[in-house]
Amino acid sequence: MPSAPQLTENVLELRDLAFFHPPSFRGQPFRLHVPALDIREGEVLALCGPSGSGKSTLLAIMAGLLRPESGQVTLATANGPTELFSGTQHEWRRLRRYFGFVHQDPRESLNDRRNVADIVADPLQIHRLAGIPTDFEGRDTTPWWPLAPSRIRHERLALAVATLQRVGISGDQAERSPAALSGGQRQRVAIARALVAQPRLVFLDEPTSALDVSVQASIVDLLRTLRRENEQTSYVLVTHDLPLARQLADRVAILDQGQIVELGDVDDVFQQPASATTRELLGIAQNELDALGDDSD
Amino acid sequence: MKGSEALAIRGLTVRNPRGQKILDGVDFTLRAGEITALVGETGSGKTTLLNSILGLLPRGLAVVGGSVALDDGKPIDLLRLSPDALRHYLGLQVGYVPQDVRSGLNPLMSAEATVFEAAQRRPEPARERMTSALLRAGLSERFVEQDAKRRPGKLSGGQCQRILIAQAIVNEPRVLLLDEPTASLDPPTRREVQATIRRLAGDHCAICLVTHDISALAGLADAIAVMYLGRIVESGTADAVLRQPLHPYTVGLLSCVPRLDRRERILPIPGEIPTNLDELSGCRFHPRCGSSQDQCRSDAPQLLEISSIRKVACHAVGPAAH
Repeated sequence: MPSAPQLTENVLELRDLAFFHPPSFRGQPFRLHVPALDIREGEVLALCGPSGSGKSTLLAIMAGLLRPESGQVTLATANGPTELFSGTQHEWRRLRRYFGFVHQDPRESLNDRRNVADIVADPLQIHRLAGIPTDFEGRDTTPWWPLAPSRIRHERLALAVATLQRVGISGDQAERSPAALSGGQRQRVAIARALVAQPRLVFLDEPTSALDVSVQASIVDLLRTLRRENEQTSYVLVTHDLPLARQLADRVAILDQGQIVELGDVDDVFQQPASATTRELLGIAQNELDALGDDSD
Repeated sequence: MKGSEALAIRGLTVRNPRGQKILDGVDFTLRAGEITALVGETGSGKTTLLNSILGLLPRGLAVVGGSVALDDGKPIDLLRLSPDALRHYLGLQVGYVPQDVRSGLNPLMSAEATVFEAAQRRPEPARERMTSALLRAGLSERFVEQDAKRRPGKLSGGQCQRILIAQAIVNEPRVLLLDEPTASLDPPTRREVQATIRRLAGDHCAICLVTHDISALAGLADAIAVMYLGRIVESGTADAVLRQPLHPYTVGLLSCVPRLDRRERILPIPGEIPTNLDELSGCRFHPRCGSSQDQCRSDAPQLLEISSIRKVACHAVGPAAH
C-alpha cells in the first residue's frame, strides 16, 4: 500500500452545488446536489457510479465547463482562492492553466494532422507559459519589442518533449503524427498534454476504458509513477470501474442519482461499504472477478 | 441440437495487401446452445475474423485459405458463396450485432421499424415476431408498448444495444455474432445484458462473443478462445482458461485485470503489440514473453490438445514441439 501523501490544503472546494437538467429521454429530470466536496492537494479522488449518476456532470462543473445552478466552486490559485464561475470568460480562461484534462478516447482527443510535440506544447502556447522571460518573482518581463518567436517555440517544444519522455514517448515518436501511435501511446500523449503546464488538478475521464486490458495496466502503472514523482498534483478520476478506482485512488466518492451516497478512504469504502449503491456495484465487480480465479499464489 | 457444431471455422487465413497474414490458420467452433468467447486485443484479428464470416472484409484483405462451414442441414461453406447467396444466410441463419451501437442503428428509423424490417425477411407474420424478439432481447413490455416508436437518439445506450440484439435474433438465427456487446455499458446494465445473452443461448443458438475485456466474460462464456496477432493461442472451457491459464499471453492478460482487494497487483505485459508481422518469425508472442526460448524464435507453435477440454499453442507448455 503506498503511503498516503501529506495533505496540506484543498485545491478545489465545492459548496452547496446544485445542477438541474430538464426531463430527458429517460423521462425524469436530473438533479445534482453536492453539499460539500473538497479535493485535497496531492490526492486522487475517484468519482464512481452507474450511468446517469451525475459523475460526468460533476466533473464538468469542477473543470469549469458547466455552470451550476447555484453554489460555489473555489480553486486555490497563486493569487489565493478564486471562485471559478464569478469572473468573466477571460478570467476563467486564465484559471484553466491550473487544470489538465485527459479524455476517454485517445483516438478522438488528438489531432492527427499535427505532430505529437506540437500537440503537447499547446497548453504552454495557450497559457503563454514557457519561453516567456520572467524576473525572480515569476513576473512576465516580456519587452515591448517582439521576441524571436522561434526561441519561445523552441523552449516550449523542449519542455513538451521532456514531458513526453516522462510518460514514455521517445523524442523520435514526438516528431510523428499521433496516427502513427498505438492507442496506449496516444493516451500517454494525452496525459503528457494534461501535465505539461504543471496543473494543480488533473481530470481523468475514464482514462483506460477505451484501451485494451494489457494497455490499461500500463497506463495505470504510468499514472502511479507520475503520482510518486509529483505529490503536489491532485487527480480526479471518473470511472465506473471500481477495481480501477481501488488501484489508483486515495478517496472515493460513490454517486447515485445526482447525490454523493458515500465518500471516504478507498480502503474503508471498499471494505465496509455503507450504502446500497456501493454494495451493489462492489457485488457486480466481485462477481466478475471471482470467476477469474486467483493467480496470486 | 444442443452441443452440435453450428459454425466450424477451419484453417482460416486472411492476408493484407502487404502479404502479411492478418489471420493465420484459425480453427474455431461454435456449438448450438453455447456461448463461445473470442478474446483478443487490438490487432489480434478478432474483427477480421467476424468480417470474413460475414463477407464484409474491407478492400485489400483477402481470404487465402480455410473454410467457414455453417450447419444448415448440410455444411455450407460461407466463403465459397456468391454475395447474393451469402445474403440469403446473413440475417436469417447468422445474426450479427455490431460493436458501435449508435452507428449500427439507422437514426431515422424507430426501434420498432428497425426490428420489423428485419422480421419481414421471413414470410411468417412479422408483427408478433418483432414483439417477441424485443421481449427476448430483454426490453420490458412497457417499452414495447410505449417507447418502441422512438428513434435511437431518444433511447439510452442499453436500450439501443437491446434493439440491435432484437434485430439480430428476430429471424431465429442458428449463429449469433456479438461484437463487444457490453463494452460501452456501465456495470449494472452490463450485467443485465449478459443475463439476456445467457438466456438467448438457451434457445439453442450458437453465440460468439467477441471482446477485448477478459474480465467481462466471467460467468458468461462456456468456452473461450484467446487470440494474439491473428492466431489462437489458447482455447478451452471458460472455467479452465480463466482459472488456470497456460499460455503466457493469457496469464499476462489475466494479471492485468485490476482486482478489488490488493493494490499492487497489476502487472502489465511488457512491450507493445508489434506491427511488423513480416519480421516476426516463430511464435508471435515471443518478443513480449518472459519464458521464451530459442525454439520460440524459429518455429511457430501449433495449437495442440493438452487435455480433452483445452488446447494451447506454446512450446513451453505441453508436449514438445513437432
